[in-house]
Amino acid sequence: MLTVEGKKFDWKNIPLNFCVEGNAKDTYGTARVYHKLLQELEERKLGKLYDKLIAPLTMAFRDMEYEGLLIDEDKLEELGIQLDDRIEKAERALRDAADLDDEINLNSTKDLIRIIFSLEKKDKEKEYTVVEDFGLGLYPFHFTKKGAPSTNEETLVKVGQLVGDEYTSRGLKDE
Amino acid sequence: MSNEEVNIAKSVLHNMSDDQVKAAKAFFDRFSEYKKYVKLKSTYIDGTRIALGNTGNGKIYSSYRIDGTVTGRISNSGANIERGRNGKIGVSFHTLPRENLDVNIRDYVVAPKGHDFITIDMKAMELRVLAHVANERNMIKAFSSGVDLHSYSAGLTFKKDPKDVTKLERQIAKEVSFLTVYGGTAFTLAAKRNIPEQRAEEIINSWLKAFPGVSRYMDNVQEYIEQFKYAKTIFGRRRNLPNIDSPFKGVRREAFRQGLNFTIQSAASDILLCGMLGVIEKLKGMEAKVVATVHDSIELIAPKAETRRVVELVKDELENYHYMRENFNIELKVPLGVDVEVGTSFGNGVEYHL
Repeated sequence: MLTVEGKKFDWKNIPLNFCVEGNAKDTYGTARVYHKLLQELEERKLGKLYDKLIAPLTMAFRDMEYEGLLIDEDKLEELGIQLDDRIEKAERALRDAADLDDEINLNSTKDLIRIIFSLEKKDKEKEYTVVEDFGLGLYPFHFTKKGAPSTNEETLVKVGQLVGDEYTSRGLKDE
Repeated sequence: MSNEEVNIAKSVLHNMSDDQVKAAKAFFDRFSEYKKYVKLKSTYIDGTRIALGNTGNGKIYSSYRIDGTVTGRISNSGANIERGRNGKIGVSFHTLPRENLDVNIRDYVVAPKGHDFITIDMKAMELRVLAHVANERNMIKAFSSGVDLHSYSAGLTFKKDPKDVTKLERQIAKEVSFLTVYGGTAFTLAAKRNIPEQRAEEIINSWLKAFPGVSRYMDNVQEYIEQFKYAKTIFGRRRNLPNIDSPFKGVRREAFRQGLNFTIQSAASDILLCGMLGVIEKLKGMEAKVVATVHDSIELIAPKAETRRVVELVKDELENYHYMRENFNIELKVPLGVDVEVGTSFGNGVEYHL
């Protein structure tokens, strides 16, 4: 906390001459920055871009931000149901293709590690062990801070891409 | 994943059997499809519910940033009243995928009763800008005569009459044109289309031969960046690219790609924004207003009685770019075109003809 002569910060505790000096410095600094930035804008020939595009845009976006967008809440719920249906179908297709039964939870890190890397760690054990005859058996390329194979979105998207690249470069085709 | 990890991943994948690779591909294809829908639901349905709970007036609010990207494009996110997801009062339609979406999420954004929701989309903006800055004659000719650019370029690329171009050939030509703008490689196309890399390279070279101005432009941009260490757009915006002097070839190539892309994307974005400012000026005194801008489009709401007049004004401003002409003195070598859709929601508009 900022203190002036041992007192807690509050404008009323600040002597007037301090306020005047401080505010004058503030104004002076702002004016200096204004002239410096203006000069830089002119040097780079960006003055027009600023005056005719950037500055008016800030006003235009202020108005749009203030206006907002109206939502049809019934439609929102209807679209939610449609998406639930797509999620269910996509999940079914995924489970069928990868031969995963309903016991497997696609949102569980533990289960994803089993599916993708064929690894598991039993309770109280320190090391991961290979699950025989299950999962894709991919090598865990990236690890979390705690040393577990990473299944975050970024890693899985990248691994998915690399798998796709390998598939393409081998010229494989779906049966 | 680090580069090292990616390289390990590549070599491990390389040593797997065909069956293993096929199984992995089958899994990841479906997994990403599943995740896509899960994410859409969470971002747009759950996210909007939270936002509506916070605003309490049936509306959601966006926050725009004009300094949110290196290219000068506008970035947009749901506005916040507190930190974190539960403090959101809006969602960003900038992150909503435009293609291959069978659930029309935008449909829940509506116009008030008695009003229309008008969406104005600039047609093929970036390629028009490319044609202009590269002064590419064939491309300018195609845009000026109003033929479908991608059928036309597919015709030149695959050496056949544009009438006989197949849907797939048109799609490939379209992808190649964007690869050029965004700096993709033959491998990108090969992976996307599942064709041999060599064939992809042939197609790209054939496309570049059809539009010689584009290669010339790329060379010019490269020289400019090497000399000045930045790229510059027709509006005078700069993007500094000190990496053009890197001792590493890959880093230099990336700096060039960023510069090339900047000269096109940034100018395309500024043309639209000038158009939007012109539209706002012209709408003064009317009840209609601009309510959003998403990528290359402007969204408006107008009382039904004003719709026709608004569309006339907006179409004129965007196609004849008065604001940009007056303030920036830019005359384009290609015509600009817009698609106008009118409906009662952001998602249900149908083509509107004057």
